[in-house]
This record gives sequence, structure tokens and C-alpha cells, in this order.
Amino acid sequence: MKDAVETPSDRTLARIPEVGSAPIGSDAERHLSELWESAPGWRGWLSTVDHKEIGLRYLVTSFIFLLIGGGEALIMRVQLAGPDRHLLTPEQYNQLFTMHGITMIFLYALPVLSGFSNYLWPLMLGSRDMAFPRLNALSYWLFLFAGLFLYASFPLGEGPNSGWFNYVPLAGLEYNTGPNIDVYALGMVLLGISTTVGAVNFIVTLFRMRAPGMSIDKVPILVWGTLTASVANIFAVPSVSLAFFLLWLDRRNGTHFFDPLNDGKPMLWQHLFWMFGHPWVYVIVLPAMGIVSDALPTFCRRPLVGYAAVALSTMATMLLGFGVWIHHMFATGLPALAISFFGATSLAISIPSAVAVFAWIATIWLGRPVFQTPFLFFAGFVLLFVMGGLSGVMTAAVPLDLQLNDTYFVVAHLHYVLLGINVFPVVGGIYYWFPKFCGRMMNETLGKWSFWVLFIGFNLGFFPMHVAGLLGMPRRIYTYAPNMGWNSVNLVTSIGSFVFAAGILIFLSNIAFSLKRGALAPQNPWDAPTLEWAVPAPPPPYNFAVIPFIASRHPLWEDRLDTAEGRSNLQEGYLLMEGRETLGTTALDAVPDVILKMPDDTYAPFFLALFGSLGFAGLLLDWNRFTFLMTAAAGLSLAAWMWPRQKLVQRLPGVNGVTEAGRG
Amino acid sequence: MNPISELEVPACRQNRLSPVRILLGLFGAPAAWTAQIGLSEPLAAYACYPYRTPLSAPLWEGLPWLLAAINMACIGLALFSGGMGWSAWRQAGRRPVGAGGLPAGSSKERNRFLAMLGLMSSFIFIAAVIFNACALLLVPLCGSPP
Repeated sequence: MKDAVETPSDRTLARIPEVGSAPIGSDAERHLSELWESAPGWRGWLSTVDHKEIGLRYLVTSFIFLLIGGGEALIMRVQLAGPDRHLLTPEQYNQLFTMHGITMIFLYALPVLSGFSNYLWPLMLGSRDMAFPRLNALSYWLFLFAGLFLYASFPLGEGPNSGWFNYVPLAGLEYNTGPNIDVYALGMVLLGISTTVGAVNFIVTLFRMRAPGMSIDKVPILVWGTLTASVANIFAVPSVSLAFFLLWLDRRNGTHFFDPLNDGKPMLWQHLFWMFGHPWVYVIVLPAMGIVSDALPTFCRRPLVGYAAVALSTMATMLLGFGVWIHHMFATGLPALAISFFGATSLAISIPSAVAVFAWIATIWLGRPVFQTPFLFFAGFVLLFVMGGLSGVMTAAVPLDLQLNDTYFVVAHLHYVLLGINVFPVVGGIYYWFPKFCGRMMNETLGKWSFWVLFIGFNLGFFPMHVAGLLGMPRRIYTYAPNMGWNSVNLVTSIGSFVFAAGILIFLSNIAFSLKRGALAPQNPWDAPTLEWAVPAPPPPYNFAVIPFIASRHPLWEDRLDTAEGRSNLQEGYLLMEGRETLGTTALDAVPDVILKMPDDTYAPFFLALFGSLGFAGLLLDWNRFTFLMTAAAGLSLAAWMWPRQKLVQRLPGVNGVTEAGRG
Repeated sequence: MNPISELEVPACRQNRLSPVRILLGLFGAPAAWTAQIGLSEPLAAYACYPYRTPLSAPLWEGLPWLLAAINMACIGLALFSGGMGWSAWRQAGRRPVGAGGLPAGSSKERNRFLAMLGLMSSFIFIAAVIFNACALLLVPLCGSPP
């Protein structure tokens, strides 16, 4: 395989970067700090493009949404704890379960993983930032504004109310005349822009920003997971954006894409939505699986078993995930053979999933597990993954799915998948990387308490939902009669949900306590093998004082593993300090290729996102002049962003320097 | 400060492992699966449910043969790609470690990694293609779900 490296023809842009070291406190290091630091105060807060700051913002914001979505769930569980309860009206219940789904799936599950990846990718890859720092900031601001947009009408009693998959014709104008669905439709288009630009950034970062020597077979699994999810987003998000845009046109501009009375096709909505929806399920679990694959080995004191198999299973799961969308539509009356193809693929997808499970089990089995809090979360995740996966295989069988369709069994399955495979790795990941984020350790006793309370609460809350489903309880009913036989399972579920909430509360208390009083964390408190642990905790603004040279997947374990792969060089490397600079490398082998001039902090992403979002608000309110004004303002922000700057001209490394050195 | 060329960079060198084999191993079987599902499902769905009413027999008499041909072609492509992936894996596995004075962990390792990915990718997607093809044998063309 040939790496595409062109010899630079324009030597006026060539420069041979210096090589050396820059220890903490040295002149070079201080200079780097000045170059990369954001301005203090609100100016820096609005203009920063630092991936670490953006990553933390993603984490905090998505966690706030998790708490909001969790609060909605608790209210619903109070309502369903017994029969014939009327805490909520049917319309309030409709809005609550819809907002709960939207919040958890769109505003928490992926953004929280984007938070991890934004923070960790450059540190894991040996870079000073993401490929497009300003795009990164834009992605966050758009996510924040889209979240606010989606919630804007909810306090007024006009929130989205047709379920998170928003089927037509229920979501059409004929049955839903308020602004509820318009908010959802436009908010999702706005959020789609955020997701798409974020995905592009991740893809380019992986193929362009790895440290020299970190060839494609040495990247961490979290990177594979997020890369796979990002590629999937590029293909999946347009489908749902189109669906919501067409729905908005139907509702506000008189088109009939989904209107059966005028030759529109409601099934088109289902196809477009699930073409996105099922890949999205994998988008929000694969990076979380990557968290486990990278962090679990640290606590097993050995490398992950089957690195290549896990990397491949990640990609194969995602690709197969594009061929299973119709398994959400088994009950729509499609011909048997047509749906059987999707049933077959839904079964086949268990192969790569099982590969990953066996790799984690083998890693634990062959290692020397250390039962610290993150390990408990990762081991618990493996168990929940198996349970969620098994119920997934059951619903992949067409005859069984026809029985289970729209029952609480499906609700149980999706919560095992989404909470078990997302929330547990996320909480474990926060325990694991908290010392890197904040420079302090989290409390271990509280950590173990939080795990056990969460684990017990989760299973107490969600396992009985399987039983409720098998007893025939349909999902999305706001109450039920006392003689249906569902009373006990619902009461247990409601108790479990409050136990789970208590676990989250313990976890949050631990964060609050540890932020102030946690023990100061050393650089590598877990004795972990990957590159992010080679920088101080918390990392300096420039990440790496010198761009390191990488020789293996475990640069910090090379001595003990005694591999034949040579030794990484983390102390000496490229000193790039003529402005904000980092190194661009080739896609497969990470051979040094170009000096990337990185942008300074700027307000442009904030204002572009703000004016863009206000433009969407104008569309929602039918304020045409306002929309036009906001569009023009967004255009000006974009012009300021794109304005050519001499200092951003990319430098090709020395023709006879880096290129030759890079090829050994 | 050292000149850059003095540093030991774990780097790569071109090797002679066929990129076509690696690419076929990686993407051949997935492409076969994509083609299979992308052609079979719409044809089966449209032939049995062309507009608003489901039919008891397909619109086109030759549909079973057409679907069989598509599925056989896809199985053939997947198996061929799997063979190429296997061949690339064997070729990559035979190459001596550290050839050419490079430290191990260079392009040889990378190619071996890609060949291994290709082999596994082929295995998974051959299984998926065969699973899908079984539907043709087991499920009536225009029958409704039970």
C-alpha cells in the first residue's frame, strides 16, 4: 500500500523544523504556553478553540442534558408506578417521553462521546489539537444552541410530542397543529449540522494528525470507534436531516411528501428515519466500546486481547448497522422476503459484537484484574452488553419481533443497549480520565458505592420491563388499568429507576467532592499504557511540548512488554513553535508531511452558530425579515472566519529533512 | 537541537504486498453484501408490493431467478474477495520481521495488520451474505409475515 506523499514543488513554503526537547519550565516550554493559552475571562471563554476546553464543555453540557432527561424519566416512572395514576395528562406524558428520548439519544448519548473524543484524541494521537479547531468550536456551539432550540417550546407546553421517531401522519399538520413538531424538525436539522462538522473533523484528524510513527495499526480503539461513528454520521445524518426538512416543508410550505391523501408516502418517513436511526444506535455505542477497549487493559495489566479483531469488529458492526434499518419496520406489512434480508443481517451483526465481547473477557481472564472503580464499570458494561445484545438478537427474528413490537420488551432492550453500553462506559471513563481532566483523583469508596447502586438500580429498573413486555404492556401508554397484571413489574421498575438516580447522585457528589478535595493526581495514576498519560495532569495548553515519535500501541509499557517494535521517543521530537503549529502526517504510516499552522482563538464559530441558530428560530416563528438578517449575519461571520491570513499558510517540511527522516 | 535526520523514526517503507489483494480482502465482501441487500430488498419489496396493495405473486415471473442470480453473484464475489484476503494474509505473514533494516512495527506490520483486517472482514461479510441468501431458500417471495 502506498502512502500518498507528494514531493513539495514550492520550496518557498518549505521549512525544516527543529528537533529537540522542551522540559517543563524551559524557555521553549514557556513560549509554547504563551502561544497556545486562551485569553482569561469571558473573551477566552467565547473564543477558545482548544480541544480540551471544547471536550470538557461537551461532557458537562451533555451530562446536564442527561440529568434533564433522567428527571423526565423519573416523573414518568412516578406516573407508572401504579395503575390509574393521573399525575400527568396524556399530552404531558406524550411530551415527556418524547423529550426524554430526544434528550437521551440526541443531546446526551453522542455529545458525551464527542466530549471524550474531543478531549482525548489529540492527546492519544500525539498532536496539539484537532485538525480543524474552529470547526470543533462551531460543532460545540451548534450542539448547545440546537439543544436549547429543541427545549425552547417544552416549558410552554408545546414540546415535541410524537415520540423520538416522530412517525407521520401523527406528526403531520393534520394531527399535530401546534409548533411542537416544527421545533423538533428544525432543531434536528440544526443539530445535524453540528454532528456533521464534528464528524468531518474527527475523520481528518485521524488521517492527518497522528504523531510520526503511529501507523494505522497503532491507533487506540477509541479512535477506531469514533472514526467509524464519524464516517457513519456522514452517511446517516443527511437521511434524517432530509426527513425532517421534508416534514417541515409538508407542515409549513404545503408539500405532500408524507401525506397519503395526496400521494405522499408515510413509509418514506420510516425508511429515511431508520436509515439514520439504526446506524445511530451504533454511533452512540461504538466509541463507548472504544473507551472500554482502551481503558480495561490498564486494569488487567496486559494489552487488549485481539486488537485487530476488535478494531475490525468495530468497523464491521457499523457497516452491517446500515443494513438493518428495516428491522424497526417488521410490522409495517412489507413482504416477507424483503424483511427477511434485514432479519438475517440483524443476526449476522451479532458476530462482530461477540468478537468484541470475547476479546474483553479474554483480556480480563488472561490479565491480573485490579478491582478499582473504572474496572467495575467496564466489567459491568460487558455483562449488560451481553444482556442487551441477546434481547437484540431476539427482536431480530421476524416472528418474535411481531409479538414484541411496541411492547415494553423493546423498551427494556433499548435501555440495556443505550444505558448499559453508553452510560456505564461513560461513567467508568470519567472515573478513569478524571485525573487527566482535572488533576485530581476521584474518591474510590464513593466510586465503588456509585457503581453498585447504579448497577443494582439499573437491573432492578430495566430487567422487569422485559417481563412487562412479555405480559403485553405496550410502550408509550400514560397509565393502565389495575387488572392488567402489570402492577408489580411497574412498581419494581419505578423503584429501580430511583435507585439508579441515587447512583447518579452519588457519582455527581463524588465529582463535586473530588474537584475540591480529591488527592492530587500524578501524571499517570493508573500506570496506563497510552499516550495521553505521558503529558501532565491536567495537560498544558499545547499538549505536547515536542511532537513525540511513536513505535508501538503502548508507548508507556514498552519496557515491560519488551516488544520488538523499538522504543517510542517522548522526550525529544519536533519543536514547532513559530506560532501555533503542529505536524501533519500521512494517512497510513504517519510519516511527517506538513507543518500545520493552527488558527488562533476566534469569535467566528460562536457568532456563526449563534446567528445560524437565530435564523432557524426565525424560520420557526415565520419571521422572514429576521431570518434574512440572521442569515446575512451568519454569512459575515463565515467571511470573517474564512478571511485569508498569511500566518495560516501551511508549511511543507524540509524536502530533504522530514521526508527522508520519515521514511527511515 | 539535533538535525531531524538523526532521530530514529519508526517509519515505513514500501513493500511488495499487492494493494489490490489487501483492498479486495478489506472491501470486497462488504461490497458484495451491500450489493446483495441493495438489490435484493428493493426488487423483492417492489415486486410484491408495488403500490398500495400487496400482491400474492411477484410482478415479474422471472424474479426468483433474478434474485438467485444476484445472490449467487454476490456470494461469488464475497468468496473471491475472501480468497484474495487469505492470500494477502499468507503473503504478509511470510515476510520476515524487520526486513530491510527497519525496526519492526514499520510498514510490514501495518500491511500485516491490514491483511488481517481483510481476512476477518471477509469472514464476517461472507457469513452475512450467506445468511441473506438463506432467506431466498426459506421464505416465500410474496408471503406476508405470520
